[in-house]
Amino acid sequence: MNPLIPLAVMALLVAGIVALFILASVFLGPGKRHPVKDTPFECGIPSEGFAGGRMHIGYYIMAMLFVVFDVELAFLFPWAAALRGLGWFGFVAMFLFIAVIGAGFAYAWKMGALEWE
Amino acid sequence: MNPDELFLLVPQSILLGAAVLLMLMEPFSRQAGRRRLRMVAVAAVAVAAYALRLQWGLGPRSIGGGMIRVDGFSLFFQWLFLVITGLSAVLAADFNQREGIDRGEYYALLLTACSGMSLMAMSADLILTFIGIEILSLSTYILAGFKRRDIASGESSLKYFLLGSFATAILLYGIALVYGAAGSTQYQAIRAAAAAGEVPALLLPGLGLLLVGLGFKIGLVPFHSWIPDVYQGAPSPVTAFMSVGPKAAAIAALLRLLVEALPGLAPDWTRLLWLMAVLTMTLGNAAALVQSNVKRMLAYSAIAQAGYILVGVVANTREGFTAILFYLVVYTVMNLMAFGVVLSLSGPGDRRVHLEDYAGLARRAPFVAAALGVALLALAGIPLTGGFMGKFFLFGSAVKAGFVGLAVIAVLNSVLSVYYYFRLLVYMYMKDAPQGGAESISRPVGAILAIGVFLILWLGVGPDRFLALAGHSILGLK
Amino acid sequence: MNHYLTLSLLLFLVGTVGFIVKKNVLAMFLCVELMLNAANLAFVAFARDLGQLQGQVFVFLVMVVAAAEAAVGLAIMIVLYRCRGTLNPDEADTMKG
Repeated sequence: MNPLIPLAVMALLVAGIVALFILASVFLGPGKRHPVKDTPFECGIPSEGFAGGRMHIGYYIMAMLFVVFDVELAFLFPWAAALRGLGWFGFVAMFLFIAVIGAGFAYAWKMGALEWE
Repeated sequence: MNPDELFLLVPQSILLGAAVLLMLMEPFSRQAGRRRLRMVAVAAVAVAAYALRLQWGLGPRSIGGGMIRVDGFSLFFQWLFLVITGLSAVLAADFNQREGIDRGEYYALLLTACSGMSLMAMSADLILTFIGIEILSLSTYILAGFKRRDIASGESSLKYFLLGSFATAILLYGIALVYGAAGSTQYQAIRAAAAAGEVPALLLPGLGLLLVGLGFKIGLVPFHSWIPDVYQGAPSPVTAFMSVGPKAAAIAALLRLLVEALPGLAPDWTRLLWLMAVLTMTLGNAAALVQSNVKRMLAYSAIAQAGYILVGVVANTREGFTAILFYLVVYTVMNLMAFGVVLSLSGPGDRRVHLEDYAGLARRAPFVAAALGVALLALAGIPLTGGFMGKFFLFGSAVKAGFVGLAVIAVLNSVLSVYYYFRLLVYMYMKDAPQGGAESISRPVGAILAIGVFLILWLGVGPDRFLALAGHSILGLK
Repeated sequence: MNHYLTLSLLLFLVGTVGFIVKKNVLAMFLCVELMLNAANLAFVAFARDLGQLQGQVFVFLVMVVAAAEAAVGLAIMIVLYRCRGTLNPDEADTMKG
């Protein structure tokens, strides 16, 4: 028997049950509208603001900084795992790398990119 | 890596170290120290040039397991890029003070762009070429938008960024395909894979995508559409830099790639580049004819000039490559001169860049008009100028390689281009100035113009020494 | 191997077509990212096929480049947005000719 067949049966069952419940609620429910019921459901807390609205500019600056330092980590992990094999050359190279990133960090700090305007 | 190999990377390290230093100096120094920023940049370029001079007699070497090649070819281009960067920094000084963008980041980005360009000329590995292109591109994206309050500058930057990153994505996919086809990204390995029996199936589409990506950076038709807008909107000193530096770097990378990695596919790429050369020259010149904005006209002229340079690549002979190197030197001098005048005269807000603004310039500023005139004559390829000699060598190499038709089209195009270069001359010399008032030009720019005039005439009358230097540099390419 | 390559090619095509069709700068930029990742997928697939590690190292480098591009791109967009108040490239038409 093809191992995919149980999976297909499962998928069909799930789709069928979901369809059944949705249809049942459409046909059986009273269908009354109410402003609270029309709002999007968000973990039970009343939703706030407007989804298409602007984000604060600070988020973008934070995002840029995050991207840079996040990718730095992608280099640090393999380096740390392979440090024994790399020897002093690898150590100094990574030290220089971090120094350059640190200079960038100092620049961003001093220019006020870390302040929440 | 041993110390001997590190020694060969000293010029790059100096540039990058100075760039980091400049970035830190900007927020940590007081307003009074503005001059010092510029001095640091120029000093870094000078020291790097000196370090480069020490490598001159060493002969060709490979470092980083064959990823980087230090030979006559890369030394020639590194030297050219250092000159371009140094001159751009000096040309920008007055302009930047006038426009209020005289900041450390500007010079830091110039230096990183320079190291990116050098990497492109030195690299013998597709991945390294890609990284070089990215270092250069990211720096120039920001430089193009450096006037943050100016909408045109921002638009120019955005267009350059969007189309540029699109092109690099295409280039990267081409690299991936070539890697799959050849099993390596090193030029020598690709060459071996293409030479052994039949050509791998993915190599040709890979080559096509690579040509699209590099063609975009050089500004070849049909991938040129970004050039006019970006050149027009960017601050004038940045335009001056972009019109010579990145273009020469992309041509260096193209030459290395085609000659060292893909000589086996020469019939394919010569046919493609033949077509692109004809389109580039013709469309560039035709569009330049109708421009009234001088910066935009020079942008289309730069497109056309790239077409001329491509003629030497199509020829695919030592003579052709020598002619390219020679012409790149001439092109650098004449374009930097032309833009040097444009950026000095452009006035507050970088706005006075129309043909009418040049009316009667010969009366208001005879020396500036004469210098711009010499640059324009050279761009048009009038005899006794370096521009003529460069074109003569380029088209001559095409004829000798059997591409007579291409040479004829190129010559016809040169004749066509005379019209728009001379139109600016007519405005300068034969029209009356709308209002009087002398033009002032800063002393460093004046000195650069004077040296430029001398160089263009020297290259036009006695090109032998430069030609020998170019021919010697080409020997590393194999 | 072929499946990976087909997927990568599809991603690349989706990115290319999306870049040409889309009207919003951010969406165009996302399409470029898609193209870069298509190339990454191709690198990894080829590296596995060839039994090399090289191709996987390239992916690291490309990721860094993509991150740097994202940072620069966002910065340019913010600057332009402050100037104009829109991110529709069709309205970026100060220069014509």
